[in-house]
Amino acid sequence: MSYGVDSGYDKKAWSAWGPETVVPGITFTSPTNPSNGAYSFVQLIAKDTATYTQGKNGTLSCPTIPGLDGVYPYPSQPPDYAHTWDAPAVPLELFDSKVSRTFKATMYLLWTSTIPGSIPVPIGSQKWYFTQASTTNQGYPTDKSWTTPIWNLIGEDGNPVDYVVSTPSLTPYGYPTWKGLATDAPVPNCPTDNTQEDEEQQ
Amino acid sequence: MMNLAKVLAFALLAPVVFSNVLIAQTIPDNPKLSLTIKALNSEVAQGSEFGIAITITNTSEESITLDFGHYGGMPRGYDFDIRDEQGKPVARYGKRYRQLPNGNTLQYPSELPGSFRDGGIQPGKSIEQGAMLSEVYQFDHPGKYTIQASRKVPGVSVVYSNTITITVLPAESKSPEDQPPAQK
Repeated sequence: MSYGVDSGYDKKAWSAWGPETVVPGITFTSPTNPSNGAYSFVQLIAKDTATYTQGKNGTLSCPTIPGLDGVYPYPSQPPDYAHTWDAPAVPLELFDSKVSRTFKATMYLLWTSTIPGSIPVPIGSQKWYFTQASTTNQGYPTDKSWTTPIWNLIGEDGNPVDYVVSTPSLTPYGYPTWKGLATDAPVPNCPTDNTQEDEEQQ
Repeated sequence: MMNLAKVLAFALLAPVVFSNVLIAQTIPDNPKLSLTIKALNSEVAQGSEFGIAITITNTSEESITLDFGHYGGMPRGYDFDIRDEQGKPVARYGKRYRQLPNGNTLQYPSELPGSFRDGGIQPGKSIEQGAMLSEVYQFDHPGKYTIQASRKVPGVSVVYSNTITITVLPAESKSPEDQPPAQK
């Protein structure tokens, strides 16, 4: 498995809220070696915090409890079903002067033999992340005029990054495991937290 | 007499035999997909987080590509019909929804962070999605609630899931799943 940044925070995704306009933010591919089996993907989120700054009113920081990224298996692309993608996004509001998001996840690659009764086995994984990807609303508080987002993702557009083969000496090793969906932390009213940005920089 | 016995046996066994068929519902003019939902916990304490699992299965012989976007614990593309014991629809405002003095509701943020994504389902294969209903719907009193999911697939009709029932217990109680194991 390798992965590469195709487009970072897709500008279309920032201005339109629908998959038909989205260019993948990141793409994961499978080994090109011939295989009779089938590949599948599982993504676990380790950290996901969206932060909304409203000028002098402070910052609203909304963390997420780690877990499965919503779906099992992670949907892959026809016709070969050997690659997939993700495009994390954060909404824009007129009354936000800045929005940012920190996201850390691991995409697992599994393979299933064609032998009847076979189950998926993990063969590799790829950790990926972006930290405080952000954009500033220059039109705040009366309009939306967004600066080019700062993506802060490791790698550059199109960079393939080798996956970590699943071996006992390396983490993560073995099957992806989770206790539940990655979901919003039960923080009442998603409270103002002006320290969040500083904490994330450490 | 033998025929009557067969009829009776069929009538008695039919609900059992066909129950699995009823669980994964499809509609006649759209046999491409089926939806099955199940509760992660059948009993939950009022105010606690809970969700359901939605299994979407491609029952056709062709690959189908769908939106699998996920935002704030909820999958895109689904509608949920949730009703309390009186059949009253459950209000669609969870912890991020605010009720304004004029009765309207406001969600902040208006859209939740998540991921754009789509993907295919191969013939005969399934993908399971999670939906944290407590993020969006207001289960504000104890009792039984019925839940049914539906999904409109572009170009075809709406697909409906089975209907499940969950019990919301008073806030101070704990669901059986939350109870510690008994001491020996």
